[in-house]
Amino acid sequence: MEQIISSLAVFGSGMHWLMLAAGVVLGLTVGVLPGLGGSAGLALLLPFIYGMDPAPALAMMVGLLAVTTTSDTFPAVLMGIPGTVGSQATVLDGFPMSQRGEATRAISAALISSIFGGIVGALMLSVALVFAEPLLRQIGFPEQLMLIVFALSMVGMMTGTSYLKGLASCGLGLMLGAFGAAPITGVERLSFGTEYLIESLPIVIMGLGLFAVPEIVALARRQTTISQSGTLNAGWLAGARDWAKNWWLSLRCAAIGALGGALPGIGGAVIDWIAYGPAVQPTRNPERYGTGDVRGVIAPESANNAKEGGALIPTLIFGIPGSGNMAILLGGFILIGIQPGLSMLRDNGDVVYSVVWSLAIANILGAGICLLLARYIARITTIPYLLIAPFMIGLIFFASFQATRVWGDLFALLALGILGVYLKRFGWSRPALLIGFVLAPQIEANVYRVSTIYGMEMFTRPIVLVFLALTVISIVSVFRNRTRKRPAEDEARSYSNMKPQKSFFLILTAFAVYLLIEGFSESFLTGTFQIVAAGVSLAFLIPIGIFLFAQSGTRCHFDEEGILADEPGAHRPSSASGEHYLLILAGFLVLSGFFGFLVGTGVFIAAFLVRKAQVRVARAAASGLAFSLFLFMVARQLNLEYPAGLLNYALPLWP
Amino acid sequence: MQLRNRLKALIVTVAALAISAPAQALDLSGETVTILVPFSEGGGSDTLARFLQPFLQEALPGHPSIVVLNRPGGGSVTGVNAWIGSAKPDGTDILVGSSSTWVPFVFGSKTVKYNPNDMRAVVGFPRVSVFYTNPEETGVTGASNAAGVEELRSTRLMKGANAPLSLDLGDLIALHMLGIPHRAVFGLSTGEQRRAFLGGELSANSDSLSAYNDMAKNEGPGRVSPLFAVGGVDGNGKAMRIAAHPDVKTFVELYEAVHGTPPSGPEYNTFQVMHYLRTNLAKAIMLPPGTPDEIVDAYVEAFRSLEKNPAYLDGMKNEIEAQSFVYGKDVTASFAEASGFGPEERAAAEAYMRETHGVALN
Repeated sequence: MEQIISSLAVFGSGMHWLMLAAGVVLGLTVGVLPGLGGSAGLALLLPFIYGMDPAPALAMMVGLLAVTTTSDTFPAVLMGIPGTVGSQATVLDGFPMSQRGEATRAISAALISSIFGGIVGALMLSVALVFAEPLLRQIGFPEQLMLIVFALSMVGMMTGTSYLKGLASCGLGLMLGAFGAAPITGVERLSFGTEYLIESLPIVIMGLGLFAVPEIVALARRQTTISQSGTLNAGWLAGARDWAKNWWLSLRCAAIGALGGALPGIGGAVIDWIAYGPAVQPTRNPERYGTGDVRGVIAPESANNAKEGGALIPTLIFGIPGSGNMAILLGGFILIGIQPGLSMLRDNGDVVYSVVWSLAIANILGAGICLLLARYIARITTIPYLLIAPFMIGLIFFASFQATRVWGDLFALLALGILGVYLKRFGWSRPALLIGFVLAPQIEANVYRVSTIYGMEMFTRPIVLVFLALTVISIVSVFRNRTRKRPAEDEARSYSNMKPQKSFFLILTAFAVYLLIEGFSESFLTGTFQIVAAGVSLAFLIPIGIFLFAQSGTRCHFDEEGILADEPGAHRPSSASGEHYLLILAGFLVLSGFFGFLVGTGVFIAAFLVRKAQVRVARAAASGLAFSLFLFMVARQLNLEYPAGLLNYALPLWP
Repeated sequence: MQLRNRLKALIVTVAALAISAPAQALDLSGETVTILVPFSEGGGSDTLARFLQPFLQEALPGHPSIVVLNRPGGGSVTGVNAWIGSAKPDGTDILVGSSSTWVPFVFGSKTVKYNPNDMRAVVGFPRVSVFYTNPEETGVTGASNAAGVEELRSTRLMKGANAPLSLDLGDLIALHMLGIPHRAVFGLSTGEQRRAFLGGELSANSDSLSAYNDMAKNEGPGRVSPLFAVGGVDGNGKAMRIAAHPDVKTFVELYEAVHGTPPSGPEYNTFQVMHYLRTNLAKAIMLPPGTPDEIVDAYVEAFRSLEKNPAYLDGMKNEIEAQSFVYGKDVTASFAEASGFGPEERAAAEAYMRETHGVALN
């Protein structure tokens, strides 16, 4: 207690506040840029903090980390771009709200949830530093496995209209998660001889491909503004009221976030989905989620800011990083001469608590700045979409490139974007797929670990039994919600042209069969996972196929194109097909391949504006140039080398 | 970035043509030296690169600006493959190499397009580690001697490992040679192994010196008992003890105490390869193949001069955990030693993995 108060003393110095604010501003800046997050920001700081006093250096680093998940709300809610893993769940409801003209409301609800979550995280951290050590030791592999099983049960809530298709989507996610080095043996798996697939598919590209690309394509085809009315309706006070009405949900999700962050081996990407689950479950009308329900924004945003406080718990107590960001923070600690761990906790208690204070204050400061700006930034949803689409495309390719910084990232985005567009069109659940993908390596590794070390003995551990009970409750409640009366819009439809959805189904099935067969050519520990994942997928795919081919008008039938044609004004007759815009995305790669990414992006933007949005050539060229310049500045700051094109190789001075 | 690089290349070429003087000392005034880190921000290699940034700027002739370029992917193979193709042998491109980069080469991975023996080594920062067990689980204290090993033979150690074919093979094969029954849990990172040891799920672990010291201090001798030290290897190929823990035997000494004869054979060769890789070659600064001797010498000189800087020494010891500094040809010699993973060694390792763990090597 004494230390908690005495650690406040550092905030008496103006220097400390200045450093904290600098960290917050930098954190907000990298957070708002899709693809960049705390890691990139901290890496920027590291050379500066070397030799600095520990207290202000810590304030700067913590300030930065605390707020990257605050500002990433902007691209997620306003444009449907999940720039970090922390905002993938937010997109689901936040973006539909923007489309209804409620961008300001969604953002303010999200930001208030962020502040609240951040403070809850800091509080839990300060309590945990005193009590959590023995408890953390109790969390072993069996507990991790059960937590993952629990997270997997969330899939049941995100299946969409057809639960068979939802579960098959999850299976597809598990199969995509099998790509890359096998987690147990480290053997290259399904790399097809490429260097890119030696590691698993980057999760950020997965999120961008599945969520951002289909939205960009759909919006560009609709040729309106993001806000379908072209205006901004509800203001930020409405968002504040939403949060106040749902404070209990926010508190629960913040607690889940902090706990999830503290537990080893879970990872940020899963936590938001775990938080999304309870938000959906107890409510009367869970089918409203994913269509712009503010609770779907409050839940993940409360969780993802609380998560950082939670992740600091094992980082500070044991010196074992609780997340990727924490691994870098640990590097920063070491550079300023602090070795986190139990010794630090005992000997330098006030340093530790100054971290807690910085975390809480940074959350308030960061969200406060965002709240001030929200009204202005939200106006982007009232600009005709064709004017912003090329910038969005440039931005998502930039974001993807941050994953591993090679050409392969750009191809991966295109491939996963194509997958995303058709998943959306034919009604397969993208959230379920993402959850399967995120959990795949965890399931594989933990099943093996638990069976090697414990076997059935795992069920003698109390925490395991608690998670088991939670999982059962979760599955039962999904089942009960399912059996309730469904809304009329879920009624099955019949389609004039069944070929597209049948073809897509056959491609997915062929993929599963291939993985199943290929798995048998690998050694046991390397191949088993993909065999199981493909087997589970086929178990759901086969009944879907029977419905799809034997009957017409079941819940397994779905093709967005059929619906869109029915709804008045949904599609202008002249608008181009989805494939047209996918070709345009491929065109982006062609231009980058020729001019190099830096110049190619500018050329693409200019050409798009002229051809698609009828912007005058001079203005379009200036816009393209401005974006290239922006990319150039970012590259200089972060020291990035963009993918080179033909001209880079041919002309020595080509940028 | 690209522009500057290309400008730089042009200037260098022009300058080289204009001067082409004999043994011109390296001058990097106005240049930018790019340190390639084949991992993402925040790992050990990245920390080393960013730590070196200010010191290198000060020490290199002409005080060039130093930038760190992170190119992650393929467990460092992707970044180094690209670097080998594009790095200029003029002293403006340097690499932070680490055991993760050398291991796939030593094991003959098909994706590797580089050969560390061709690179020009500047300086190596050896690291050391300690192998320890948990007496609470094994019931054996003070194990770093023949009696301790004898007692451990009636237990079964649970040890984590990154993968069957990874640096951890060194520890596993050491247990095998000492005749201590053990079971490996594969697919665990260093952090996960440490956590599982703390939670009592694993009864043996191997950790860097500072992590071990921290662990020993906080957990006490009742939960942490050293078995053998993995110090560096001296110029004669002899394993060294760790100065801070003079009572902890090296694996070779422990083996001799148990068996009466020094270790030999393909299994020992495998241990020795791993030993070089994780100590002497843990972290090294490399110049690309074909870099002229003058430039290599200038770099070695710059790093040597840093040994007079107390801030550098302090950081190197406490933050980077470098035990000593090994320069130029001595690093290259370690590479030659570490390349001895031949068909016989592979067959022995395969047999061990199959018989003891029931898994394939890769």
